[in-house]
Amino acid sequence: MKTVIRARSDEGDDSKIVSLLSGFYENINSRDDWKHLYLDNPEGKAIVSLIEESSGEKLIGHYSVIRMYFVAFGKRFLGGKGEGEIFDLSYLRSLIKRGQKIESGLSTRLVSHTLEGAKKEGIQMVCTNPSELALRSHLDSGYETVDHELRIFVSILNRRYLAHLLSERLKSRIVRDVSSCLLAMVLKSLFFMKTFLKGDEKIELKPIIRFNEETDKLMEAFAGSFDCIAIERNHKHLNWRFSGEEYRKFTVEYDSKTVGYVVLHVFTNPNGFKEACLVDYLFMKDYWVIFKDVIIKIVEEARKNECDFLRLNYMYDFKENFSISKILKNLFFLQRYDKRNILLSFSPQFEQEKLKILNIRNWYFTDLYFEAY
Amino acid sequence: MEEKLKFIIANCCQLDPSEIKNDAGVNHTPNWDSLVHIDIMACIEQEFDISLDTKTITALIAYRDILMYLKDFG
Repeated sequence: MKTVIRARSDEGDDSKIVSLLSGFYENINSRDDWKHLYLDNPEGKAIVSLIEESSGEKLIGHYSVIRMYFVAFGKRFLGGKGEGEIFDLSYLRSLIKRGQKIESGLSTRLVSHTLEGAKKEGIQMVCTNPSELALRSHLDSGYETVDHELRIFVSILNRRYLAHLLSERLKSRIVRDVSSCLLAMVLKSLFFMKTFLKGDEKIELKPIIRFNEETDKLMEAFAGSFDCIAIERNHKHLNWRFSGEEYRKFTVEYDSKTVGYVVLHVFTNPNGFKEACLVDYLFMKDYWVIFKDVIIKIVEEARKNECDFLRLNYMYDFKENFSISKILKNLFFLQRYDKRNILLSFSPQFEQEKLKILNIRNWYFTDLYFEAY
Repeated sequence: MEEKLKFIIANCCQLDPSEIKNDAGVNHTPNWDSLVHIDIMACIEQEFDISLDTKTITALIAYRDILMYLKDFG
């Protein structure tokens, strides 16, 4: 099989790309969905590389870099997120069964082609979290691994979800129902006792429709006071990223002063449970101490939205300076270890800071980065 | 079944079958990348006369997992 790797062209490629990606991503069902994620980004269109058969008729592979600004050690620069190493599995299998061969190293060349394109566009660092299946091509393209620890913290808000968690361990339905009922009561009581009379009345989660120049100041203050690497949360990026109604956005007010923001993704997950996921949050330097009270408010918000549970994917990174994981454990969040492949590709100008960049403790990750684009 | 599976994996990865150990898998075995994986899955479908859906293909990324799947469904 002869193939060509090339950049996406404005003419004619889009419908083929949408058709390819919609088979893999639940959030891409139409050209509008795809256009929003890949073309409407305020930082510019994504860099997209495609593999097609040399006849030009069939698109068989896709990879992209989505633009986003970063701040690192006081500097602001254009970076990106590597995303979507996707192949047309059905078509390729049918070719193989007809005796055709796939060129060796093709997936690596696809990723490398995209990174080269990104570099030409001035992108200086690309982060990605590929699946196990896509890991090899990324490493062979020059990405480097960031060692890390990731846990998923969950606050259970009702018995039904607890019964679901217990279903793998307890086969008897009666035992499961009784256990989940009792455990849910215990967890609720413990949380109540822990938070009773401790909620700080000065703290308020104020719903907002859109981020604006005022919230930009939070990012500026954050970047100015912490020596870490983070996606720049400017209002254009945040409004693009969290544009759907399922994203509940709040500023955190302390004594009537805006000291941070949080974004809660409220949705029904594939298992049919209503989930509230804390996908992004930021606080000004002196206000990380109120994180516990903010989490209590967020749990209340999730309950108000009749969610079955609240989830927080937690990377043991820069945030550990504020003992955030300890606070979550203290509030009876259940935790389980999870694994992602966190990889980075960066331009030679960062060579001197390489060790710092590859050190997870210098990063500020939240789910903003991990959620599927 | 074990020998046949190791032969398929070795052939797709351009290795000798003796190089395919029980811990073989994506990222552990030379040349086994995402596209070679599709090659392996296509050959398994042909050889064992089964049809694999996308979810299964992306989940079966190690020799042991594939073998277990084939024992159950192959």
